[in-house]
Amino acid sequence: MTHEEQDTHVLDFPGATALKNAGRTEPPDPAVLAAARALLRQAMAADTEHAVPATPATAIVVTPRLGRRRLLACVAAVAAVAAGVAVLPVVGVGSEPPASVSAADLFNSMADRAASGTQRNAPYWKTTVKTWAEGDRTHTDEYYLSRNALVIKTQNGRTVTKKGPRGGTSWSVGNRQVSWDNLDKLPTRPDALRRLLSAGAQGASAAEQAVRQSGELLTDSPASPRLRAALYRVLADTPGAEVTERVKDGAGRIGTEISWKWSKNFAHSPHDPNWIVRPSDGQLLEIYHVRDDDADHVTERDTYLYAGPADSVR
Amino acid sequence: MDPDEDLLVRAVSEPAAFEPLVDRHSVALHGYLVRRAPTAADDLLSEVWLQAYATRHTYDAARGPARGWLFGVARNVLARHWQTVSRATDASQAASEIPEGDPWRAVDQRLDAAAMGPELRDGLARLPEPERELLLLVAWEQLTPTEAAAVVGIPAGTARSRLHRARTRLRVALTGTTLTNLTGDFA
Repeated sequence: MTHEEQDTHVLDFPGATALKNAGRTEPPDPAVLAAARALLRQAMAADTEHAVPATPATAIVVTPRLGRRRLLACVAAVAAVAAGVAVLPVVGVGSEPPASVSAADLFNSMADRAASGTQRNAPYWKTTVKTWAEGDRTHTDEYYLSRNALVIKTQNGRTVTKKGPRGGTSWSVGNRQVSWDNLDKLPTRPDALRRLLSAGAQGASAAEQAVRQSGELLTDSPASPRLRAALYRVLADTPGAEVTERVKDGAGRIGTEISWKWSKNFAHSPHDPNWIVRPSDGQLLEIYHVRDDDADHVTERDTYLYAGPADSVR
Repeated sequence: MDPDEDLLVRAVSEPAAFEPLVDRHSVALHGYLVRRAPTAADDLLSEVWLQAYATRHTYDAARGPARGWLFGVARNVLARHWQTVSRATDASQAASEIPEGDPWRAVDQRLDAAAMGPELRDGLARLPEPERELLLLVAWEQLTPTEAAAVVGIPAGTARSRLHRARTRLRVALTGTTLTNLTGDFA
C-alpha cells in the first residue's frame, strides 16, 4: 500500500479534509532555522578536533550608525531626512571572511522574501516613525517623501513641507546621486551593485559606504523588489555582521538584531547603530543607538511602524 | 538505503553528515511543534536538533524510517516541554480549563481557529489520546502509519489498528453510525 493509499484509507471520515487543512502552518522564520543550525554546529564542533565554523546561537546583530538628527545634519537629500538612518558600521574589510554564516543566511533569506514582493508605484514613500531620544519625549510622526518634497505630519497635528533639492529627491549611490525615477535603472546583480555603492571609497571605507547606502535605500526609498533583493545580497556578502535573535523593538515586536562590527570610526558613522529587522518579510523595524562606552545604554530609538508606498498625504 | 537513513548512520562517525538533515526536515518538524506548542516551537526546534544529534547513535533502521525517528525525538522534546509547563502552571487554575501542559490544548485552539465544526472537534476530543495522536501524525505531519508508529514507539500493526479505530469512532461521532461497525479489538 502506498503512502497516499494509506493516508486515504486512514483519513476516510467526514471532515477529514477540514482537519488536514486546519494543520497548515507558515514556514519557520529563517532566523529560527539559522539558530538551530548554529547550535548544532557548536555541538558538532565540540565533537570534532577541528572546529566547524560556529555561530553563537543567540547572537546575530547588525549595527547602524546615524541617528535621525545626525542624518538630517549630514545628508542633503530629502530622502535622508525621512530615512532618519540606515547607517551600518562595518569593519575589517579584506582581512575578514564574509559575513558570518548566520548573518549571510539571514540576508539571503531576506533577499528571497524581498524578491517575491510586488512592485507598486505610488507618488509617495511613507514612513511612520516612533522616535525616542534620551532626555526627550517619545513622539510618532509620519513622513511622506515624494519626487520633489518631504511632507512631515507631526504627532501634534502640524504639517511641515520641505522642498526637495534642485533636481529632485535623490539617494547617494557610491559617489553620485540617483533620482527617484532612476532607481529602477540601478543594476540588480549584487556584484555590479556593490561596485556602484562602493565607488569613490577604498577598503573598509568602501564596505561601510556600501552598507550605509544600502540601508538608506532599503528604509527610505521606493526601491523595487528586485533592487531590494540585490541590496540584501550585497549585505550578505559584507563582512562583520552579527545577529541576535528574538529582540523586541520599541513597539514590542519581535525581530532579529543585526550589527556590523567596524574596525574604526567613519566620518558618516560616528556611532555604531543597531538594526532590528523582521526576516519573514525583510522589513526594518527599528534602528537604535547606544553609547560608545556602554553598549547597554540606549540613547535613541527610531521604530518604523510603517514603511511603504502611499497614494496621498492624509 | 533511504538517503536520510544513510545520513543518520554516517553521522555517527562523520558528524558533518548530520547537517543536511536540518535543511531537509526543519520545516516539517517546526510545523509539528508549532501545531502543538505554538509559543515555544521556535526554541524547541533547536532542542530537537541538538537531541537528535546527541542520540543519533540510537537510530536503528530496523525499527522504522529515519523521518519517523526524527519526529519521535521531537515528540520526546515536546513531552519534556509539557512537563515543565505543567509544573509551572498555577495550581489554582480552574478545573474546567484545559491545563497549559495538556497537549490537546493547542490542537483544540487550532481547530477552533480554523472554524472547524463542533462535531468534529468534539469527536476528536473524545478520542483516546493515543488514537488521536496517531491520527494527527498522519493528517498533519503526513506520515505513513508505519512512520507514525515509529514516532510513538509501537509496532506498525498496532498503529494501524488504532488508526482504524480512530477513524471508526469519528465516523460514529459524525454520522451517527452505531458502534456495531467496530470489529475485533476496536469494539
